[in-house]
Amino acid sequence: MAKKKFKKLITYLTFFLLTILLASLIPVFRSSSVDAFKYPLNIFTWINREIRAIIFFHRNFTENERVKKEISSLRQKIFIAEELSLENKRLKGLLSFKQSSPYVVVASKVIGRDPSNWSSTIIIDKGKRDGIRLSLPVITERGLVGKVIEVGNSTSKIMLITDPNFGVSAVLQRSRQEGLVSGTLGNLLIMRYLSADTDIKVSDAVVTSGLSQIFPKGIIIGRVKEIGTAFSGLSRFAMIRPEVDSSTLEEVLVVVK
Amino acid sequence: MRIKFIIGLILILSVILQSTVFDYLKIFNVKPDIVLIAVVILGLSLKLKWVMVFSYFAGFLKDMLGGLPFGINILILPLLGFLVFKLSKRMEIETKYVKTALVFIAVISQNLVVSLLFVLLGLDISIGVFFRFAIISSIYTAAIYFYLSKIIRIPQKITLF
Repeated sequence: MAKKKFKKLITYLTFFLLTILLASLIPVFRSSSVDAFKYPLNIFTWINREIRAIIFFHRNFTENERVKKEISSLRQKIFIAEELSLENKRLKGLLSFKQSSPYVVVASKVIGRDPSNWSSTIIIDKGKRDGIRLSLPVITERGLVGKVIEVGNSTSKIMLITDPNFGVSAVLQRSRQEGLVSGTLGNLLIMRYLSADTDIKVSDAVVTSGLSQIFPKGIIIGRVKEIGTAFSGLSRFAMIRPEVDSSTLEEVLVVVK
Repeated sequence: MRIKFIIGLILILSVILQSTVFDYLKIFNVKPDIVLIAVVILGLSLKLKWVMVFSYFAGFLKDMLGGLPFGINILILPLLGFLVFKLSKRMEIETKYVKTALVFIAVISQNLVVSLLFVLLGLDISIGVFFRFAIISSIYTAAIYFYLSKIIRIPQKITLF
């Protein structure tokens, strides 16, 4: 009887130890066993999903339609908000410049651009009614933009500094050397008639000289990008990167006084 | 009368698009010339009298919105319209590819004339800018015409009466 009891105890103990052993070995086998179950699990999950999709197809479909509409409406709202925020930022900049500027300026929006590739002009939404006159300088808070070349009652045409017909007397801010800045139809301007011994460096600021009747003194035009010598060898020229990117202009200020 | 009115409206619309939307479609600072495309299409489709009338109208509109020293477009566009019309009478211009080539040549010719006038006016245009305008704008405009003719059916002949 005692022998039978002892045998039973040994069996229980063996099972107990085996359980402990297996329990301690589980973490070792877990990752490999999960790997082995990966594909069957995936298959069953997929079947389950597809069955649910079929069962709830109509509900999902209508919900999808509604969400799509909502996304499109929200996207539109975000786009409008971004546009307004950018416009607000630009107008704030212009306003602060207008308030701190010594000039009397008229703010206007760009409503059209030159249809041809061979000239650089813009059309603004202000004209004679707003005090715009021929040849008035046009600026932004960043620098010179151009001058008024045509005036209508409620619109005006501005020749940009990048137009080859444009010319403005300018000086190098650091060395006060004079030259004539004109457009090239490209992204850069050219400053001509600099004397051969001109003190000029790359990144020098170029500002209006005030010699012409049109442009007030000291308006920034751009910065020197390259320096070269004229074909004759008698003078030098500089390629200027304009401060104002005329291709992205949306609002400008016309200096009326 | 209605067709004439529609053609006029299309020309006005193309000049407005050229001055607004197409400015945002610039490649290497060059935009395609859809007004010139319209003139070439009209040159291939209308009688000479109406080709000239609409070409002058297109040139006038382009010069109104443009900033070139004088009415260059009002000289060039009727001339191009006239040449396209005469060419269409002398040879068969039927396939899309030939028409695209014609648009390409028309844009190159226009750019050559404008650059020549610039030189005559004493304005400096660098060779790089000239080639960029002449080549890229010609390819761009021709490509726009090619895809336009794929999307919409451009009529071979337009009867005004």
